[in-house]
Amino acid sequence: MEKDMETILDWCLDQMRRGKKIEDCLESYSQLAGELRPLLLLAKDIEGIPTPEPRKEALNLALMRVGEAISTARRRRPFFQRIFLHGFLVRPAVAGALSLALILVFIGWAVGMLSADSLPGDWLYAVKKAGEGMKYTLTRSADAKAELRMEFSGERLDELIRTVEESGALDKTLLQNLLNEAELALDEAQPVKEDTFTLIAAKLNHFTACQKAVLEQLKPRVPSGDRSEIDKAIELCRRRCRCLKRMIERKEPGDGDREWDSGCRCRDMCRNEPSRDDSPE
Amino acid sequence: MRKLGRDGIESLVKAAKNLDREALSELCVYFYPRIYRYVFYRVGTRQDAEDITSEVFVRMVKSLSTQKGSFQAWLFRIASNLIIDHYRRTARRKKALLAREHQALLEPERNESHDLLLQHRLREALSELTDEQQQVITLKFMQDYDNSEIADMLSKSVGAVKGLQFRALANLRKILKRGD
Repeated sequence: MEKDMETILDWCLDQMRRGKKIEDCLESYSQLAGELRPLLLLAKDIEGIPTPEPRKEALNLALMRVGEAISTARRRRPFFQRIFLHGFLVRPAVAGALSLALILVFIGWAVGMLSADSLPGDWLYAVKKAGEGMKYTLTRSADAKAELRMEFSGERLDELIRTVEESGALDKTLLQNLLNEAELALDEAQPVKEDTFTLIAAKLNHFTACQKAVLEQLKPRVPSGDRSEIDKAIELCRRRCRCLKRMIERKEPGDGDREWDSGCRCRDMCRNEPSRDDSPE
Repeated sequence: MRKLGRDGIESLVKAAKNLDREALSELCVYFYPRIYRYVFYRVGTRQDAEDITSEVFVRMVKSLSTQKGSFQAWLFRIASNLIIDHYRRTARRKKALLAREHQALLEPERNESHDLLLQHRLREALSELTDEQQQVITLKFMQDYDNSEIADMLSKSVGAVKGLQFRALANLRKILKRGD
């Protein structure tokens, strides 16, 4: 019964809020009117009591305390949160663009890592070459470009060895490229100062000697029909080593001293006949 | 003061969670009178009501980042907890009642307006109700919240709120009748 009373009382209160008089509400529940009326009158009385209003000074004081609490909370917030929650980074468009950029950077990094071991013919090899091209474009100084050319030449040599190991055939284009990159390394170093040039020439000399040694090791593993190509490359390396040695040891540098000697460029390879001089460079 | 709808409150709360000063101040200005009235009828003095109300908003700033669900219900729960703490701290509800009696002697003298007398009498009577019954009377008849909002604030069903409302009015009537 009490549950019914609760519901009826609530219904009556609701009706009173909508503007109905107490007696109109009680009409439907005349048997409960005796019990309901005093409660409804009391509710009406309570609603009629003016609500206590807070003092303006108290509100201002609360606002001051809130302001202090905000400052404290802001100071305690971790650094990344301060940036992300308060700055422009929280805006959906900026956050979306940043996420996309991060994803692209990650994909780029992953593809770059995967393409590092690719060989000519792999679909990732183009990515590797594009990466090298970008690296070269972004490099500004002549000595850094020369170093980069040597690095690319070393990369081609590595690819050449792996190609021979995997397929047993000699990739002549790779052979040509590795010699070409080493040749360009010296060309790139033309504008640098004398002491830097000597350093680059020394490095290139050492590098070319290594290339020659590796090619000699590789020669027995390539098909006999391709060995003449390896011989020509070895001969070119030998000539280059001599030329570079001369550049390093010269007493008085002059015009033209920095250039490759005749027969040291890739285009001279066909004309090069293997020399019988096996003296160390 | 403009009446904020549910969406208005939500967007303010969202900004306030990022410690936006303007949004927090606006929430404070909007809810201060509501919380004050709620607290006023449940504690002994105007000064206590002001202190507790002010503390409600400081707590709001401190823990808003963890707030979930209805903001209004959450804020009233903070107020309710602080009122309980207040009584616990004084640890003597009896003493608080005595203080209120003392206040009763002082307040009518200070301001003999009829409104204040009514408010005081109601506050006296309310203090004899259970905590939940006090909350229902305050929220329903002094703050105009509907049953579902009160149910949300008290974490109860609408049916339970109706029951509390009935018992609160019946008890209040007995108390006031006894006083007459």
